[in-house]
Amino acid sequence: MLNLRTIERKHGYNFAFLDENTKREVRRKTLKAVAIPGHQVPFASPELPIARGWGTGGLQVTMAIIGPDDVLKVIDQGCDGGVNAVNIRKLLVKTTGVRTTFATGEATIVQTRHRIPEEKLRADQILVLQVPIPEPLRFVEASMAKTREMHAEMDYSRMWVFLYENIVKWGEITIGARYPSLVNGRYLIDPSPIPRWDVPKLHMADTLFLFGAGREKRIYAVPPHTSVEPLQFDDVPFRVEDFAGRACLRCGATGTFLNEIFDGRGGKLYVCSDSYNCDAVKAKREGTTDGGGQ
Amino acid sequence: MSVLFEAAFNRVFDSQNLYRRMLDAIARPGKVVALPCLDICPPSGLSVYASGLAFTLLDGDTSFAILPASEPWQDYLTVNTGARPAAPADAEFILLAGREYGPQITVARRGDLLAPERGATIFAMVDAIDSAAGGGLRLTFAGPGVDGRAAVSVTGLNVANLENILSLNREYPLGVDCFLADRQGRLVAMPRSTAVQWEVVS
Repeated sequence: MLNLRTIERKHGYNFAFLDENTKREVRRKTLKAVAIPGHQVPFASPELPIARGWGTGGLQVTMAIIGPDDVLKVIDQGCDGGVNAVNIRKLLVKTTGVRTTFATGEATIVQTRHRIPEEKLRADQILVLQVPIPEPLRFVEASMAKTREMHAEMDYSRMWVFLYENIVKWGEITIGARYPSLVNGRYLIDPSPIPRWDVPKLHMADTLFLFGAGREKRIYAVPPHTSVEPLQFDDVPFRVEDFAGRACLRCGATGTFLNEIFDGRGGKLYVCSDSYNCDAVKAKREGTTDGGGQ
Repeated sequence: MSVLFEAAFNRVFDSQNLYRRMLDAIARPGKVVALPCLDICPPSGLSVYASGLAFTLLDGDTSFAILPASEPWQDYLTVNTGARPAAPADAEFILLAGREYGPQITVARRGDLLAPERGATIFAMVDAIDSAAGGGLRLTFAGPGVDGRAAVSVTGLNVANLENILSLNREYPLGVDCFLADRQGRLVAMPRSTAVQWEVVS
């Protein structure tokens, strides 16, 4: 007689944790998301060992695409050592055994929260973004049924009015991260809470970008060589964060996205947000090869 | 009649490998992607590679149709994936023998404006795909995923089938997404977002 207790279990989990049916659903939805750039495709988003809202969308996309030969990099706000990145990396390593790296250029899959690495990504890499709020129209409309209709009709007039009112009230558009952008001239997306700095990196890139929103159960994509235009007015053009005259305190780099840190004495310090890039620039400057990647 | 269950197809790793190549293909329409060899033995006429694509994406939650209808192929896919056979107008996946004229492709699901992702996915079996210029159909792609233009030569795809697929995609974002797989394991994707020009080359 079959006794379940006596069966030796070699592995605690399926490869990449998810069962194959769940992976297949994410795979089917991801292909549709790529075929309709910027369109939010609903998916089941079952429970995971990480709470919804902590990167489960990106995590499920990564789990569905990852294979044993992939090299994984996970970052949280540009940092490989952020608590969210460390936990997601640990879970993926435990359930897949894949090699991980801090070096952006070595990774085949980069899962990220709130940043796109400074180093230009290649065609053989995939960037997976964790998305808290996939709906760019949530600024102006709370009902998801209604926003779905607005996307269907490509009716983004209320978003334009919102941006216009912003300018009237504050002199400029006050949206920092999550800057609404039009993909392939058709769908408005929330590019996830990446700073404005990173939005132009989505435009006509070599890389495939996959967006997963676990709590909100949506997947969307920006394929390579696809136009991504931040909404802007002829007389008030889109601009990225201005770090003119500032350099990273640690590596001395200019031309990277900087975190602002208050020093407790009324002053401000600036350091790179992309920790690997900062390590690499610093190592190059000091002539050491230890990039912190090991 | 007994139908072969493909125990040698690894549902975890072969699926993942095939899927990544499909993802690469659909993210870069016109790119000719090589599929891995598969140790499966589909019934006569059904290609190993089209079967592999079906094994990768189909399961009990999905439905499929075969054009032109073939009972042995249908039984083979049902047994190996658990997917339900459906009428071409209802199926999420359509397996098309590219050479044969399948007029029913015109009723394929195109989704609606609220849910364009409900448009069907088509696996079209063709004889050969080549990025170099050759005989047969010369397809030129432009649009998302394509750096400028990309061209491929396809043999074994009935022109009427191609015209029908393209006419399904006239009203973007409604439409169908197509994977063309040849008998040597070369794959090309033609999603609805792609603008296609074609000519017959003799």
